[in-house]
Amino acid sequence: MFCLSSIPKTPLLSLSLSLLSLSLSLSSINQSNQSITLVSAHAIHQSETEKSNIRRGFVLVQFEVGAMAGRDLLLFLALTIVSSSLLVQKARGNSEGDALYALRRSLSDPDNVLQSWDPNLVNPCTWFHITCNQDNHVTRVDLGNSNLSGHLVPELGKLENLQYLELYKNNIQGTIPKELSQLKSLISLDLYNNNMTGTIPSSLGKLKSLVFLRLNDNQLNGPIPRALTSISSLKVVDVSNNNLCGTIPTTGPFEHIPLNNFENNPRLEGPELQGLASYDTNCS
Amino acid sequence: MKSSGQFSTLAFFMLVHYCLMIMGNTTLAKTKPGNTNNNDRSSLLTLKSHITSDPYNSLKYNWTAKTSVCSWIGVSCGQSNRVTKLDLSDMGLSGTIPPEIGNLSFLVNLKMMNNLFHGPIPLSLFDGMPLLEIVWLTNNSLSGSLPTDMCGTRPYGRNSVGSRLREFDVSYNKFSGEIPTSLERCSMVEVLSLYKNGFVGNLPTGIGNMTRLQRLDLGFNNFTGTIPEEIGHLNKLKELWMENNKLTGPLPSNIFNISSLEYIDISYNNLSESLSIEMCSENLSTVRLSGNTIRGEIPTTIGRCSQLQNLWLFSNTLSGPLPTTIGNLTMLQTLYLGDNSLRGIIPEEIRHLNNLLVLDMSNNRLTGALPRDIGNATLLWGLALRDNALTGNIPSDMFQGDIRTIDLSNNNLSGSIPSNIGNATDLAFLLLHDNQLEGSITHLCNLRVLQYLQISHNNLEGSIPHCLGNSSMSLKLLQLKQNNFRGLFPSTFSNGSILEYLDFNGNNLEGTLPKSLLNCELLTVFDVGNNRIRDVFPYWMETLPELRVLVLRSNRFHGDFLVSSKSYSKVPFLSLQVFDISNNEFAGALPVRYLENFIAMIDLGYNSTTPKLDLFTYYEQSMTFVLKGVELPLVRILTAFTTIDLSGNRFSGNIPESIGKLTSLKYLNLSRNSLAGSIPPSLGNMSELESLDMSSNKLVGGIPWQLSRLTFLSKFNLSFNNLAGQIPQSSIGQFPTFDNSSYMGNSGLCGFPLTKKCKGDDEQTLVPVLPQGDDESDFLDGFTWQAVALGYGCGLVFGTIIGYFIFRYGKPKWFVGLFVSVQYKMNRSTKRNVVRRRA
Repeated sequence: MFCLSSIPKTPLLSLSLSLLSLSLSLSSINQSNQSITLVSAHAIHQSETEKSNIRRGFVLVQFEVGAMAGRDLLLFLALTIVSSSLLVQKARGNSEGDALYALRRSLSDPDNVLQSWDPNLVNPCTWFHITCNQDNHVTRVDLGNSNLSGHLVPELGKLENLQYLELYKNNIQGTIPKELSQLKSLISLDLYNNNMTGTIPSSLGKLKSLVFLRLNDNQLNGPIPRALTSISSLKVVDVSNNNLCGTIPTTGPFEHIPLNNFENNPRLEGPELQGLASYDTNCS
Repeated sequence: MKSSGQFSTLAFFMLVHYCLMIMGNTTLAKTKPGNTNNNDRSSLLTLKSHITSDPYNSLKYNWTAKTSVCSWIGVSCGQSNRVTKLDLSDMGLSGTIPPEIGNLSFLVNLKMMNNLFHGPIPLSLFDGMPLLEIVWLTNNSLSGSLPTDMCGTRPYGRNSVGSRLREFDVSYNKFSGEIPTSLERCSMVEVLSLYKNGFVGNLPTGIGNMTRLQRLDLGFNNFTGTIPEEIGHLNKLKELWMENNKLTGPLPSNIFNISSLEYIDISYNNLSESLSIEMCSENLSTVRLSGNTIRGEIPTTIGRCSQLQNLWLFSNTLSGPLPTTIGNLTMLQTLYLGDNSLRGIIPEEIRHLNNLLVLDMSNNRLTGALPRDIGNATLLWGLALRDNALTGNIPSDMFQGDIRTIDLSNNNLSGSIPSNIGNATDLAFLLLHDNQLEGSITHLCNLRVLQYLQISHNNLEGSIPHCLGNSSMSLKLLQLKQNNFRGLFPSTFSNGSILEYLDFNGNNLEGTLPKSLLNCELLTVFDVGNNRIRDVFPYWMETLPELRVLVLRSNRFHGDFLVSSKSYSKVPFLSLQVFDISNNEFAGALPVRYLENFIAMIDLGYNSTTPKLDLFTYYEQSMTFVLKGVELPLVRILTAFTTIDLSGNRFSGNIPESIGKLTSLKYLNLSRNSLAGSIPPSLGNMSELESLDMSSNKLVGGIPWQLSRLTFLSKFNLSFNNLAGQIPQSSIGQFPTFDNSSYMGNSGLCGFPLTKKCKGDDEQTLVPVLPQGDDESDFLDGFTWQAVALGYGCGLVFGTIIGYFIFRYGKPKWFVGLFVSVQYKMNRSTKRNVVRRRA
């Protein structure tokens, strides 16, 4: 008997590794008159259960002599085949890739839009829907209209160089993570046409580069945080079709936002009047 | 006569049986002697009735009331005519195991391997069958936890003699839960295998009481906690398997006191701390501790493991130098120390390891020269020392005998490839890339069975020997990129070649591409970028059915794409997904026939529905492409990776409307050509497009609003053309996310994000025009007021003239068309507002 076993560490590869080693063994080990019985399901299962932070691998071709069916030992004439450079990435991943991969895990993706998001790569710059700058930092995430559902993750706050977060027209639920306020370079936050709930985090007022803030057509509640009025770069704000309450800010960049960008918030009471009562009466 | 004979036989057995019962186990005395066989019969028939599927009808016609139980398939009886063995292995049976199986009170041997039984193990298995010695339930779908009362429910009761269970194998099932503490009562057990289940929890210390254990197999479960020291009491243990669990803590050193121990495998756990000083026992032949976080040095005492054949310690955090005593392990066959932090040189003593088959110390911090006399290991199959800092030359004596794999990549090796490399007649994998090797490679011609030649990123020179074409009978991968090879492209690719991957990128090759490449029918990747090839486009390659990547970038390819009609194949480049002919001297019209027919970029399903588990999909290639303006190495080319790069040529004429058929295309680069005409609105159909670069051409007309449909577009460059009109002002989609760098150098364009307003813009546009201030410098495109004024002036004059003609001659058709399209736009925005109000 002759049995194949691989010790793959990159989950995606295991099957191919097994098959590869099978073909190798076929072509290179012809002095064996034993028959091939099994490309063990073993290997595949193993890799599935394996921790994703193990990132290298090699393949062994093992001969099994004797009766220990299904078990890869006794005498093995093992052979490393191909190195990281050919088969498996020697990447350690990076924090931005990890953050985006956390997003992938948190999202349901029926159209396989995120299929290329392989956490084993050195950085996420070659993933589809991701754009990097020359220093391999992520600057854009473009996933509008992608039939995604699930939640956003706080890890997104780690994308320090992110300028455009385009997640509009999906079915994303849950709250806007307050950690998005760490995205110091963010120019555009487009979450419109989703199912976002909860409040608009007032910490978004820290986004000093923000130009576009479009949260319309969600189910957001609570007030429009006054902290947003301090973002002098803000040009477009659209929070229409939500469930916001309180009054509409009129100072700072809000001076130029047309009122129809606030419409269809039944509990929103109209523009705040300077000097009068606090804007958030009757609004939690 | 006959009946009396039968009667006497029956009577005899009844007598024997009765005696046995009296002598044996009083618990059985309750059963009436005449019913014993019926008991077995009825419990087996109950078992049969619980079998829902019997695909080979193994039992259907055989296990019937008409025949004797003892003649049934899989049933063996003892002297008492009672069932002692039941073997239902490999029958493909589905169903459950009913508790009635426990009525087989004489059963010694139960084997039901390789079936589809599901559900739990009935408690009666231990309760009702005191004689049971062997239970093999391997490879079913049994689930639930093991009975809490294994091996006798009453330790001082009727089964007080204890269980006779010797072998208990439930591997490859779906059991869960913890190991019951009662297991320790199974004191006769020699083989315990729970391999490949979903058991959880700590390992019970009581395991140490199962002193007859020879094989303990707990691999591939979810056990946690530390390994109990009590395992060191199992002084008959030969095999200890605990791989792929979540065990933590150290490996108890007393395990190595077990003199019978031969195999130990605790790889892929979370073991920590360092290896114990004493890690040898006299019969130990295999130690596998890979994939843990074991730290510290490899103890020098390892040299005492005189019987050690396999030492696997890869993927840990071992540090320090390799002990020289490793040379004492003369029985050693495989030595895997890769993926650690080992330092220092590879000790010379390694030459004593004459039985070595595999030596893998990849990805450490080893320095110094390669071991000199590695050739003493005449059986050596595989040598992997990649990703270290080894220096010096490649010793010539390693090329001999049985060696099949040599991987020395990513070191600092210098000198040339030894001339006797041809002695390694079995060499199939030669990986020497990322070193500083020099000299020629003509002597590689003797390697007749070479499959993978990866010698990229060295300083190798000379010509590429023609033999590599000849030997493409065995070569699958030929990676020579980033060297100094010069001369002509080898032209002798022979019929029946199995070459899949050819990468000569970054050399100094000249001449033309040989048509003998057509013999490589499996060719998948062809990259000859960055050479000096002077040729017309190799249109003949369009018949290669597997070709997915064609890179001719940065050469001197020239001519146009008007090939003679006889060469037309119906579907050119059937599988092509990467077409990079940038930075050449191609001229004339764009290759429309290709752009219209790249099937793999038109229908994404085409390639992905025929998944090939081949090298291409899973191999790490590290090809470099310019993606979204950044040069990026692509380690793996997914089937969905589609790019067309025609930039930096002399293409002229229009962009064909039919380019919009490429609905699976991700990246399109037409920049730096002389393309004229307008942007086809059909580009709006390329719904996967992420990058569209048409900069530095002579395009005219407006930007079609259809482009605002491209929701994945993230790099958009129309700069330096002659475009005019309003930039689509959709407030949704990707357009608002492009800044002025996408449009600069088109004096006729207006609207956001440019500061130049369009004529007729009012303040109610969905995207407000940016007020001008110092802090908005990001949005200023550098247009001067002069230019703006000029535009206004021209517009005024133009408008006046148009107005005059309209009044004079009525409505010209084109003018109405313009008006209608504007109205359409207005309708869209009104509709949107209506929808909003309704919501």
